[in-house]
Amino acid sequence: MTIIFGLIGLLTIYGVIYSFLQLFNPQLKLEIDNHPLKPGGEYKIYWSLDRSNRVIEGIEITFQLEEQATYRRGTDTKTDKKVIYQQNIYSQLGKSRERHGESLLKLPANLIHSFNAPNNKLVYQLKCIVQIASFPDVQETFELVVSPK
Amino acid sequence: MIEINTSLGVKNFRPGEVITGTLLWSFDQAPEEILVNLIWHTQGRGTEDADQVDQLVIPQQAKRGEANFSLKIPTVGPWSYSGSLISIIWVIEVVTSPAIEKAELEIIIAPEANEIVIVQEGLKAN
Repeated sequence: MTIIFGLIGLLTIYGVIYSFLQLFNPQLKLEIDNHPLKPGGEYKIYWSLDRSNRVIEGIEITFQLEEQATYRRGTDTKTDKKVIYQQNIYSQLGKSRERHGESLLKLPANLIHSFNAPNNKLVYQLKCIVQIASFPDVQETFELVVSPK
Repeated sequence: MIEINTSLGVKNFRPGEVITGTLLWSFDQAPEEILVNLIWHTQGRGTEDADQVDQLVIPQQAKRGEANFSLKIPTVGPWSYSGSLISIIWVIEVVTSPAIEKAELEIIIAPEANEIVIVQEGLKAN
């Protein structure tokens, strides 16, 4: 029993330190040259990091479509989510001190538009992961709107 | 019995078009009116969402008859879509008032007049 409480204590301390370190993470900014998006369109994505000069070990930016379906089961309301389309738009592996960059997002012409009904949603996102040496990763998700043609 | 026939049997449409067709009906009792609705609804894992985007009311007292209809398709979506957890379905729905009988005809509405299907292998649920 003492060992279990000891482990819980250690995990709690780890969680507090991890959360504290995240406060000093660089801030990720994304800009897009036009919005809302349209199927078949091409868009420039600009990214930048500030508040830090730490060594970046990798950056990955992904454009994705997530289906979100909400339903009731008994007294609970559940939402199932599934990513059904992904496009990698920026990927940098290896150490770097780059603080900004850009990439091109090309949307297929036959893409469905964003959909936002009370129980069913089609949500487009830019998902960004920045790996930082000796620090927690920066993980941010930005929502985009794809309008009907 | 209700029979819904679109002009030339067309079932694939584009945004902004007008759907035209003919209704045939035969009931045991005469309805007060027949309602022709253009509706989209979702299908799949989530609780159903639906909306009626156009309606034609045919005042009617006959047990049997025939009438033309036209319905306007919006330009703002949503479009016919078949996904993994969610599908978006368009139908022409015909109901009577008072409720005697109901009929539906499934149609496709999308910019290319074909259902939008996104298939990308190798992606897993969150």
